[in-house]
Amino acid sequence: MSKVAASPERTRWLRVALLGGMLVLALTGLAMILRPTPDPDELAKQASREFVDRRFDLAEADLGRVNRLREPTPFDWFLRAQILMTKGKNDEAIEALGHVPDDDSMGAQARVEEGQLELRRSRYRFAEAAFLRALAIDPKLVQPRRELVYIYGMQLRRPELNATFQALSEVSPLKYSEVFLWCLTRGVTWDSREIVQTMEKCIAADPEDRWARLGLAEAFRMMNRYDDAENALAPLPDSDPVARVARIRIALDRGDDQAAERLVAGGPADDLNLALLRGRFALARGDGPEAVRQFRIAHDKAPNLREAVLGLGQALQTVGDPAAVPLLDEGRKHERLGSLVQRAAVDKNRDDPALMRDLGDACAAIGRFPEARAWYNLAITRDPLDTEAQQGLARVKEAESRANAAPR
Amino acid sequence: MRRPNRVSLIWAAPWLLALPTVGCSPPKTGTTAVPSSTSSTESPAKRDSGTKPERKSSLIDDRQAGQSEVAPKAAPQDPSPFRFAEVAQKSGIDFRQFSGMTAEKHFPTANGSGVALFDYDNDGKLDVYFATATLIPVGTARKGPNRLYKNLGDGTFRDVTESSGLGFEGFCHGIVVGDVDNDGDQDVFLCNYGPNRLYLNNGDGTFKDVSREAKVDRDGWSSGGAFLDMDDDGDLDLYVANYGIWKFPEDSLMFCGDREKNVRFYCSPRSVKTTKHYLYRNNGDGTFTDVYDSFLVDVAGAKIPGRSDGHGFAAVTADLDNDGKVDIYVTNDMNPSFLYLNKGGGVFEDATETSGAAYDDKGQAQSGMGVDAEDVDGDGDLDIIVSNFAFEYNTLHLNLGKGAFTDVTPMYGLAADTTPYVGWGLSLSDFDNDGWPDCFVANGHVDDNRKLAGQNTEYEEPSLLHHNVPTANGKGRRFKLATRDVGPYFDSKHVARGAAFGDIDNDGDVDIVVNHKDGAAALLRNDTPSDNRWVQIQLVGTKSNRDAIGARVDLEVDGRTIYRQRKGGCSVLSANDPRLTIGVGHAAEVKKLTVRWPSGAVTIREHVPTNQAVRIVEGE
Repeated sequence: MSKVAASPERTRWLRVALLGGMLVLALTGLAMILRPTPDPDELAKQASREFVDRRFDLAEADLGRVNRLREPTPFDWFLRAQILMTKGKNDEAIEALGHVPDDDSMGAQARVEEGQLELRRSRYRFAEAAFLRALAIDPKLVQPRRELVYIYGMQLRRPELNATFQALSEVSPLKYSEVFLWCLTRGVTWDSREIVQTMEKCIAADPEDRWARLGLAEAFRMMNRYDDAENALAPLPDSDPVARVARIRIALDRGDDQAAERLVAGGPADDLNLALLRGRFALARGDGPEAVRQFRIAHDKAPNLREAVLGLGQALQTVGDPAAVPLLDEGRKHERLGSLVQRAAVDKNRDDPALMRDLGDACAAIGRFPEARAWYNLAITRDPLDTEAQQGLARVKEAESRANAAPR
Repeated sequence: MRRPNRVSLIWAAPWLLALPTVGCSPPKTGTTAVPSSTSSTESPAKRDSGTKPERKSSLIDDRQAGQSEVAPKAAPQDPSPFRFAEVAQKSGIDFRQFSGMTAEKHFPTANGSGVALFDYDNDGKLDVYFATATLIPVGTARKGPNRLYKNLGDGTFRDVTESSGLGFEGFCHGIVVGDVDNDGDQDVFLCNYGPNRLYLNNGDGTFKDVSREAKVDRDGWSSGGAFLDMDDDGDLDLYVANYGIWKFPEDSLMFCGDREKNVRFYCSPRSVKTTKHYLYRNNGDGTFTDVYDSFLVDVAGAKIPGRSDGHGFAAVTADLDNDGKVDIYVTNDMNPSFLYLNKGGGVFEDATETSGAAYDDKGQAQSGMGVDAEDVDGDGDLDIIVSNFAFEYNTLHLNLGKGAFTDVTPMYGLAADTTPYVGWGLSLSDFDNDGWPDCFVANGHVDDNRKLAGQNTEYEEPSLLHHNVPTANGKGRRFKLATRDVGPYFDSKHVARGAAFGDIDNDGDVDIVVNHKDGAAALLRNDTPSDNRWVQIQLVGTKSNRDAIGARVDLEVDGRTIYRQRKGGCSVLSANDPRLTIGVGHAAEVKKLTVRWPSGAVTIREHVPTNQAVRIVEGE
């Protein structure tokens, strides 16, 4: 066939094809118009299932469809955050979680996730705030308390650590390692190298993180890196009593007695840590009455603190005050607890119910009733028929009732 | 004191438990590994979002992590007043200790051995006796023996081990010296891994092993000890600090160290079961009775058994509460240091938990190794210093009176300098005779292979010397590092263990001998130039124990009173010169010298010229 003869045939086929395509499109469009709209909630649930099944891309796509159908709900935001986390988009995930209000059923969990993300970003201050918000919403949550134990433990914020362990023990049975750590952190210090690594990241992520600066300064001091310690403290004013104590310790280690004495003399008169230091200084120079005064301040603030108990007892003894006797007796009980904690550190002792009971007795003896309960409970978990532990619990309950009933 | 502080220990649990790894033994971190944040219920997202992986440690046993690289204090020193020349080889002392350390790192081989300074032949010159160890299991090799060097008086020594009968072969840690039979010569007790030994001095330069007859040869693991007259009957009794129970091969099977790199470290002291110590009461007839379970009372006066919760290292016996009776302070590794206050009649009160000297200021047990007690602040009572592991400072416990002490280490300038090192033998001796006790500590790590595990921890460490100086405001005292220009020994590093202190050349100043682990011993002759003066006192008891342990000496000089005591024990694994070499500054005479004997008798001498040795006999 010639090109001239083929042309009309070809044109006819082209027209048919075009018409056919338009017909298909029209029919498709009609089908789409007539098809029912997916239920966004069902679609969201589907997206959630896909997420659980680890089909993250599908989940993301379906969630996108949901959000084209309606405004995102708190559930949607939460799911979006989870998906973003799988992609490592932590900043966006936090932003998404921020859309979940506290009073939503997912509010508490959203705060927990925020906190965990902030931990990963080394923003411990924000993490702490998020976990505390979660607990304000639901005080029975366990996870945020565990995370707070980590933060406070890392920063050696012993009063907060103690309070958190106590609260944790009330909502969840504690493992041996946790009860042991609770007792241990009365006086332990961590490996400075690890503290430095962690705290430097925290300060880089959040230069306003006061506790990170304090922790870093202390770690540097322990490593004899005094200039670095002072640099870490630099933004914190002397009016910050914890920073002041840190500076005093650095001055002492540097051998700068005069700077140490000058710093000790300043600062609030009723700060616990300053009072302890002042008391120790007074004892060192043989000033018994001043030592009594300072340790009394400390003891009034923290009657259960070993250093305050022993310090006041020794100070009273130096001035010949018979009030020293019960305090030294109390101090002896603190030391006994310390000895038992050392024994509890040994792996092969971890299954010793007698040791657990002894630790319970020792904690109870110095009024640390929540820790005592935790030890007795461990013994009972091991053996529900442990009558001595049961009796220990009963004694603690009774002692607490008496303590609560006593006039303040 | 081995350690994997400051505090020490690491447990890599989900929560991370770490314990302060302080302790004298092998690897010590000094502190604990930090807790890690691992949620027990992680969200799925967290599992997939690049969650920081849980830190898995390849380190087995606590205290295995390297010490956080504590830097020695960088502040420049003023020139030191002290000068010490290391003269061992030149003097003819060619002793090298053998520790028994192998790649298996059997625990007892970490602690090394001590050295004793005493006049074995009563010729007026201090002789030197070194202890050494052997391979474990004991008996599989002949190593050593312990060696005795006679002081020839001209700066040289001669090995007289063979003729003396003191050539003990075995696993010897500590040496305790005293006149147990009050016959005027010094006897020797050896603290061993294995049965202990008692050698009675025959008075002719030879010794006889009377261990069995004396009933002091119990098989165990003793570190050191101290003599004292515990029951005021005029003879010397013996406190022996036992480290614990460690048996080969069962206790050698535990791997401690870096598993991935297959680098073995010494295990933590916590891996060793503690045991009772001994308190041998001298029966006066050549035999001893262990009264360890019947000498203690509690604060209410009720009898209690002897404590079994201390890895015992060293002891000092002295009047620590100024009541005229000699007390006992025992250093323990990662346990509280014991304080036993003498109540008379052979009864001691366990004052450990109220002493303030059992733990550090945070209530953590430290790795107590060496000990000394001396009046560092001139207030008339003995303060206590304890050497500890790295990342724990050597602790200075200031005596507050009535058996109470407080940790003043940072305030006295000792904290930062001593923290990086593992301290052993130490002394609060007045090395420049200015009337104020200075401080020497011999250092050395326990593990020689940390670098194989990638840790920046050295085996050899420098020894430290601190000068006792007034504070800037002049109202108190403190210590200042003073090793600059002292001598080559202080510019180099060693693996030191026991150290003994005394006037070896009878020139009125205190010299030092150091027993290095698997190394040549050092004899540090004190050549400190000074116009300060001294008095050297040899006390001879007659009604009191002949060694006069427990006697107190007060010297009134130039407007102040210097207080000293004839102590038992001290340092670690070692025994010091029994004479008191007392610096008195520029005083040309001691206006009044008062000796209060353990018997209660008092001797007074007046206008005693300084720069001389005096012998004071009770009752004369």
